[in-house]
Amino acid sequence: MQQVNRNMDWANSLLLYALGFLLFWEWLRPLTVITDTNQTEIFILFTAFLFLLSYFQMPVWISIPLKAVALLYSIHALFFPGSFFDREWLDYLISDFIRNTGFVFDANWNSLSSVYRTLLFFILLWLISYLMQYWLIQTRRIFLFLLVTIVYITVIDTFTAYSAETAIIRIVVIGFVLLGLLQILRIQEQEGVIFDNARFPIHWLVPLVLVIGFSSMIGYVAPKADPQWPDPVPFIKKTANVYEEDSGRKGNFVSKIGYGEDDSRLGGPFIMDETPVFQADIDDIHYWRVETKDIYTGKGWETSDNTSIYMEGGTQRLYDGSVETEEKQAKVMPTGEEKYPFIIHPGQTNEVIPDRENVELNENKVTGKITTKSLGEEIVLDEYTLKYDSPTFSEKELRESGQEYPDTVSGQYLQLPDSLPGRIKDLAEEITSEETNAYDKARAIENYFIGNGYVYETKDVAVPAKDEDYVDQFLFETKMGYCDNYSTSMTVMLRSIGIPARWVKGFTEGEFVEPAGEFRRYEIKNSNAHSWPEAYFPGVGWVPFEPTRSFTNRADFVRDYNMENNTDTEMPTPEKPEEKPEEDLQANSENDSSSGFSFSFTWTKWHTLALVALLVVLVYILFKNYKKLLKRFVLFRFNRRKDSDAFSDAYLRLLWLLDKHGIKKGQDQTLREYAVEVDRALGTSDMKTLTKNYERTYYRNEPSSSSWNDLRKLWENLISKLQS
Amino acid sequence: MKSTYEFDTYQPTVQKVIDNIEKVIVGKREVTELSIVALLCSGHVLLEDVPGVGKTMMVRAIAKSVGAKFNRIQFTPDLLPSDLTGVSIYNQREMQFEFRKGPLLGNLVLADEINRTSPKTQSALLEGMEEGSVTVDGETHILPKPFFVMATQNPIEYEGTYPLPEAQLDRFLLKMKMGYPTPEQELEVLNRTEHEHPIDQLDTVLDIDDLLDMQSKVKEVYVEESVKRYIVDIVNRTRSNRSVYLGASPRGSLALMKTAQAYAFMHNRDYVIPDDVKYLAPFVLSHRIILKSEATFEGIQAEQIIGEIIQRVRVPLRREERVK
Repeated sequence: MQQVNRNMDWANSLLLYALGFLLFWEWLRPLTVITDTNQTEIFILFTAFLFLLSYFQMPVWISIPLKAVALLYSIHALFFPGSFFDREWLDYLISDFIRNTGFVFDANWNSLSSVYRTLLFFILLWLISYLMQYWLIQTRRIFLFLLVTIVYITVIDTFTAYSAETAIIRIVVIGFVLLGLLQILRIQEQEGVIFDNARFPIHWLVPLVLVIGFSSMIGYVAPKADPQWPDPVPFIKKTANVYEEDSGRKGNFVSKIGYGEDDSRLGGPFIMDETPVFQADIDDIHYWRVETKDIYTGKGWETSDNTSIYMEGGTQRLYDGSVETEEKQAKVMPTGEEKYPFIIHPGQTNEVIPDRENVELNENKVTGKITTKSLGEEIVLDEYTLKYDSPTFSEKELRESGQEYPDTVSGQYLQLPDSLPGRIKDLAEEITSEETNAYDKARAIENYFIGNGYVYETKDVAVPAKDEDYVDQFLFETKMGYCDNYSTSMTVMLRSIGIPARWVKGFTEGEFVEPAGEFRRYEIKNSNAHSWPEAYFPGVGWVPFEPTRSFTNRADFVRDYNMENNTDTEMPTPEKPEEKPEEDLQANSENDSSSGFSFSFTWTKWHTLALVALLVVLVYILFKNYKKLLKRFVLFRFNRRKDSDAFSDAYLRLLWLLDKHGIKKGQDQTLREYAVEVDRALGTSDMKTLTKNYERTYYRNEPSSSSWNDLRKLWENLISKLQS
Repeated sequence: MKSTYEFDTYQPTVQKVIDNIEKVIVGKREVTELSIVALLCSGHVLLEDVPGVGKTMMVRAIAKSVGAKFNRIQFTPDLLPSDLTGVSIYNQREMQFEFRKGPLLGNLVLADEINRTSPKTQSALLEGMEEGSVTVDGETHILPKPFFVMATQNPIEYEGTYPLPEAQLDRFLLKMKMGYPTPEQELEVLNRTEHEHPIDQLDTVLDIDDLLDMQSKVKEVYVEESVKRYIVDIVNRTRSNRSVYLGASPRGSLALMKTAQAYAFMHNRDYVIPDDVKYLAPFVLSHRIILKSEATFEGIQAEQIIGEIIQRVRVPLRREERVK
């Protein structure tokens, strides 16, 4: 193969890398639409980082660790709250990796965790960045990639909601500019043309840009024929009978996600609905609660009592006095797109301040749902401010709470239908057999859904048949489902082993939009609708749990007990920030999570930037100083040597150090020639003396006439001069 | 293990010879040194250069410095072998044949323009160089020791020459070029010879016995295993180079080692370093390889090839396995 000079001008290759990255970006843009991913920034940042490293052509031993760290950091940012420097999440990642690699070999694709899938995706990005580098810098051919990109975008445009109207223009412009530039470079390299100052020649660039700009504009403005086949999707769907002939055990209806009133028949698939419900200014992320339900029917949930009373001085108390709480404030702004005539609040709310007069707030005694009425009519408020208590649960207290429940609680929240299959209780007992207190039992059940074949699924979710139990079907047969399946199952299992529990409906914390003064603004959509179980602990109150896979419990738990007593370590899940101090969570409170989707993580732009900057600085410092460190080490090692080989070894080590400091020795250079070069570079004549001595020991095969002690001065002198 | 200090006594002597020669030959340190290297190895030198650059003067200076007998033979197309070796002439008075020594039977012989004579005569010279004896009329005459031939040849592009065959070129230990002096050096030559030729003033600084002693000492110079390997590597590469039709023979390796020993000796070292080998390789090897005709057409010279080869051979730096 023809050897081509790859020493390009820095600006040229920067341009190539930038354009290549922009082209590759187009692959990542539709991810939010076509997959469950909604935090593409991380993928884009990671890819940008890869391209940047490729551009700088770092040596492999620097770039690979850097990329690996960036990968880990991205994974951490996507999935794990808390500090990057915590060991625990890494342990989890490793165990997850090992478990999932096992699944891969078993071809058990459905069980792969989203962390693992994301990891693979990152590795794919990594590989592709190499491929791009190969195409751009080595072969100088990008046409294949461009073609595939266009095919990809058009297919995505046709079959998904992603609109590629601007993407296709971007791709064509970037792609053709790249093709043109690479063509210039290829001609330059094949014909041996040399341009002035190695840049792209302007008399070539200008026509290229003009032609592409002009033709793109013509293409954009020109009238276009209507498509031959406007939308092939319905036809294909019809042919493939998607959703049409679902029968039997599978749900024969598709519901839309959102806050529903009727939970008496749970199950079945749903589709995503991104309608915003409300925006909230908060300073601490938490789930949003609407109501709880107490009666499990075997098919769904019902409420025992529907009477509401006028709310005065806050909602029902969820937590007992011993729970440490902090009063916080939140402002809720319903978008009005969904007419929800009730208050959505964090839980133990002390005061609701509506935006208008004459608002009547009625709270349901059982469910805790607060309806808004004005003059007897149900109304939707435009805005209201909440004052609420944010609890911090002490795990110690939870463990020591005992199981003496008040009659009101045990009478109402241990209810189970008579038809409940016995194996649910058996399973619950089996899971909790090793735990001694209610809290650890609840945790054991919560953790049971991690692994054990349970999968998060919104489409292929069954509805129990007439003689089937909703929980039983999920636990033992389908093992696929969304929050309702998980939360109901946990609630029922808790009740089956005598722990009072109830089912809570509401929303997750939603998606961060922008800072709003001292608060942070989040947007909560229909797709953030969620349900979770709540268990009662005497002296503590109602404590939320989060059994649903890939969701994160937002309540704060303080691990204030002795580590030896910790029985909760069988599956250390960093998804539960129980060991995190509160500040930590607040720091990470810019957050994104969406109901029904697999990502739930804490991430701030500033954190990433700060960490990346810190990392870059660290690597830079190491990179800058590693020579100094090497020198110190070498000096230290030879200082104490007295044996006859000390000089030879020291001399050879010096050669190695010199090489590291950029005074390279050619393989055909003799030691004397090299010594002259070294002495000239360092302004000494010591190397010559040392070399003469070394020559004698090696080529004459006899010990040096001067002792190592005499020569060491010269040797040290040389090493100390290496600084410059 | 031999002490190195024994060698110190020789170095000043060698230096004296060099200084002596430099009184006559201006600015030709390299050629002078190489000539002495050849002398110390009992080898012979081929000088390839045009007439008038001081070849004869060089040999005369060496001869005078070591107090040896100097003969000069001008080779012509009609020169016969017997003109070199000598002939037996019938002595009428004594009624018997009597051998008249030819010019070859001296200590230092300058064979001028060796490629002007017929191959037959060339071979007579070369036999003497190789065997150290000449045979005339069935009688073998041992050549005196030391025996040192410095042959010169015009660059072979000149007309009317008989290029030396490869086998004969191989007999020369070193081949070098004298080259023209720089204008300053030439001016110095004029200054020195303005009134009388400095060659007449030269003293003998070394007698023949000392020279023979030194020749035997040179053989004691230590050559490390890896340096030998370095020599063999270089010579081996001449055989696999794509521009080379015929590479150097093992005699080439031998010559390279011997000259390196002498060169180290000259520099007061009793061991050879790769620098010696590297420096000498072009002089020792360039006349021992034959280039392919393509390479010759491209104007590539044997010295260039040797230079390229040296660049590709790794210099030994460290003991592969330490012997304790």
